[in-house]
Amino acid sequence: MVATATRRVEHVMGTAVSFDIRSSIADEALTEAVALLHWVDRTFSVFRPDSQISRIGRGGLAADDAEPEVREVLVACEALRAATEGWFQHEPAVRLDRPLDPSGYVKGWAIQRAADVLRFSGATDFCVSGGGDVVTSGHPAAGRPWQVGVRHPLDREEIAAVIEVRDAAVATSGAYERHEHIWSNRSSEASLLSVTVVGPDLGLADGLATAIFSAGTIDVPWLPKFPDHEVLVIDRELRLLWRRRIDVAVGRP
Amino acid sequence: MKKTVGLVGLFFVGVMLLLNPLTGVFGTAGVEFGARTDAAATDTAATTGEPPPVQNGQDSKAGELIDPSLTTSTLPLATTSVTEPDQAETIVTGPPVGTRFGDFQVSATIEDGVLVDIELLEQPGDRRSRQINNSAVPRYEQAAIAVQSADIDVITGATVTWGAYTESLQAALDAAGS
Repeated sequence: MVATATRRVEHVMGTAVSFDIRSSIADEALTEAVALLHWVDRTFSVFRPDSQISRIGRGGLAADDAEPEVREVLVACEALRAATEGWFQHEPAVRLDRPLDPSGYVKGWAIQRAADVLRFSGATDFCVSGGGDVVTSGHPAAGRPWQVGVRHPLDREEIAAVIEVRDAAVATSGAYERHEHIWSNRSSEASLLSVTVVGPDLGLADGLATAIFSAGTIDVPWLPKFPDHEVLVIDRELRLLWRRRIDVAVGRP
Repeated sequence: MKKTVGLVGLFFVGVMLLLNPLTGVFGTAGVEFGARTDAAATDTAATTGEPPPVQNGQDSKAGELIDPSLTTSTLPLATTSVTEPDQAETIVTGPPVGTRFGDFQVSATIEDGVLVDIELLEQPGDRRSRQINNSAVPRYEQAAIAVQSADIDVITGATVTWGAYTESLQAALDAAGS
């Protein structure tokens, strides 16, 4: 069966992932995308002792013997750590109980993959969102882009900024989500309340947002390594700062 | 027949917000970023280049032009038009939608095809969830009404509440054929 507009909320990975599909989609494609998220949860969760990530962390499983996707994620995390000069971390020195924790990348990566399942199945206009991280494709309605509201970090009622995006991913790291994955091996002087990254891939956007949040400033020297990303931060003085690098409209609500 | 229905004093909704192509959808008359004010105006900040521009919401003025290459507009005051009594009114109720904290259920009031009110019938009861909902839900109602629900897309940095809320609302609207 093919539906013309579909909404679904799936509770997985410790959050609610919502699918908002405005174009036609085969039931099987959505089922497959949801199944993928549950597989990621089982395989990558740091809260499940039997997940491959937990087993690798304890030394009970060699990374080389893990699923290909696990190796792919660990390679990506390693690259992200190097590119961010250590601000992205997936091996928390401060968490002895959890020596391997790629959560800062995995959630975005998983949602991106779920979105890719929809896209490869022929869906054109949709949005997948989980725990505040978003993948958009096409248009929500004819002639207009997806409008992504950035929640105010201190006041849940308010939206601090609106970002218009086309076929882009948006990830936010901040004090307001239950970000167990935001910890840092380093400490920073400056600090931010919220970091939003817009880019082509949600895994990378999620990892970058986590890294910038940990670094505590938008003025990180390694940001130019990610030229196709827009970064918007809210600092402790409640100032909205962003570097405009790609064609993304940012407005105030 | 298309009507603009004002919700006077209810959520300070400015239904004209959609007219601004950059900032319209989530627009809220009467709120400045970083500070609550009563002025029913807001502004657009947009910028290019480096160093990163700084805007302090408390210091900004409505209509202040940050970057001339992008539109900045002052939003109109919240409309004060009054709902006429003889309009066809339909109230539809969406199904409860489960979240990890409990169920959400809303009903929508539709007059002449225009969504004019949303009532939260059921919300999760535990303390943490209620804490979230007491503040989050009115904002969603406001946004949903202001944009006739179709233009609320998604919120980054949102909690689980949003998805369930919109899902129940959408089901109510679907049931109404809206």
